[in-house]
Amino acid sequence: MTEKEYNQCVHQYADNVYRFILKNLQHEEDARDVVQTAFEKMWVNRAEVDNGRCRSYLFTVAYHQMIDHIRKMKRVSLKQEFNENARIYDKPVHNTREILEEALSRLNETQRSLVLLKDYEGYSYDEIGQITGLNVSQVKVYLHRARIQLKNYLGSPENVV
Amino acid sequence: MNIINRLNYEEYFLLYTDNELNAAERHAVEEFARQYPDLKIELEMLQQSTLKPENIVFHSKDVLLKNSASLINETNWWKIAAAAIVFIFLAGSGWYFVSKQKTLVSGKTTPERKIDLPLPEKPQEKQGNIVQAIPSAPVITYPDIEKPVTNSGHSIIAVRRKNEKEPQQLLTVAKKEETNSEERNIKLTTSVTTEKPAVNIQKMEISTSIVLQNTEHIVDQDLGSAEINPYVYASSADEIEILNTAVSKKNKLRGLFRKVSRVVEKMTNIEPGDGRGIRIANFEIALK
Repeated sequence: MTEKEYNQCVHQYADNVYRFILKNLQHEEDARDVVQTAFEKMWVNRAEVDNGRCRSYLFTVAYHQMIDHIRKMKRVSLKQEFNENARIYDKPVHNTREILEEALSRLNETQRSLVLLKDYEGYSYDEIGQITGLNVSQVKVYLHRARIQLKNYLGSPENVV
Repeated sequence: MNIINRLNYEEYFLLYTDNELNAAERHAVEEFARQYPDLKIELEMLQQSTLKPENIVFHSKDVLLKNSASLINETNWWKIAAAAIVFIFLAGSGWYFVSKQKTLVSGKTTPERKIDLPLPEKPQEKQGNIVQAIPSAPVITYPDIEKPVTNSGHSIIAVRRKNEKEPQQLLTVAKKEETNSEERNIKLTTSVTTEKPAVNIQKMEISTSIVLQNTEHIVDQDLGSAEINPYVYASSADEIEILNTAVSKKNKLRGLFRKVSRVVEKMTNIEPGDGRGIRIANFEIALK
């Protein structure tokens, strides 16, 4: 990867990586730090990075950086098991996007990352597996579970009201 | 043949939602949903659970961008600044060194005080006494020495013979002075006694050529063997250059040689009949 290709990669994918990390961390400063670290790693290893795979390389580095950041900061993660009986009465939502945001925040990091990579970036199962280090079957199972949880949350009349 | 049924429809619906089916499979899923309206609602709910991309912008792209040209420019600026500092240092040190050298040189040879006065056209009578200056005995003028006043009321310039350098220059001066009919070279043979501590206090024979100019007040000076100061004074009105030409030096070695020669002469005059040889100091040399 040349310097020009690196800069093109910055212009093309910086927003996507930042959005992916921000949706996971829900913290702008931390997300910015993770993105900068990811791009810095790519710059350092630019000789080994193929320009055609710079996007997946960026998401891979950013994803693992994000996981390390979460573990390092020991942030309180949401329960891995989606609480189907969770009801939000004090925080009413009025549209599908906000309901989905709320439902997304209730997923674990892996499920959320899989959903984001699938819906936002449009990666295939295989690509998601390469980014996250999971095999295709795992990606498929985890993602289907996340979809069902989101659907159930979205379909719950208590949450919609 | 329909591959989708009520037992496996959920997986196909999820794959359909995730866009992991080919065109035929997608068409089959859509056909299955059309056949079963109750399951079609479930498919729509899965499609609504997908996230729609948001327009989130990372505003710090400048931090991520790399510009090697700017890095090179920064490096060049550093190099230029370093080169400028080195150049200024070298120039300053060189200037300091040169100025110091000039100070030392000027301290040794300050310009002489010479007063060039219009020369009269009177021919002089003492042409025969002109003695050519010997270039091996130059004269150095010490202008910093205070100028005593002679009996005639003229201020004087102290001149002394110091070294024998720059003979060509002085010879040129002497020749230049010869072109003037007003010149007077006066040979001085004198014994000099000085009170200056820098000058050896001893008697010296100085053969000096004095060039007199502006002989409006020509003074026939027969300095002869007068005892003079090593500083030869010249009238401020009359410029006098004293060129020390030939100075015979006395030294200890010469005196020793003279003593030895005297002893030898004395001892060799002894008649050989007395049986003694030549005796030099405490050493006796047999003649036979």
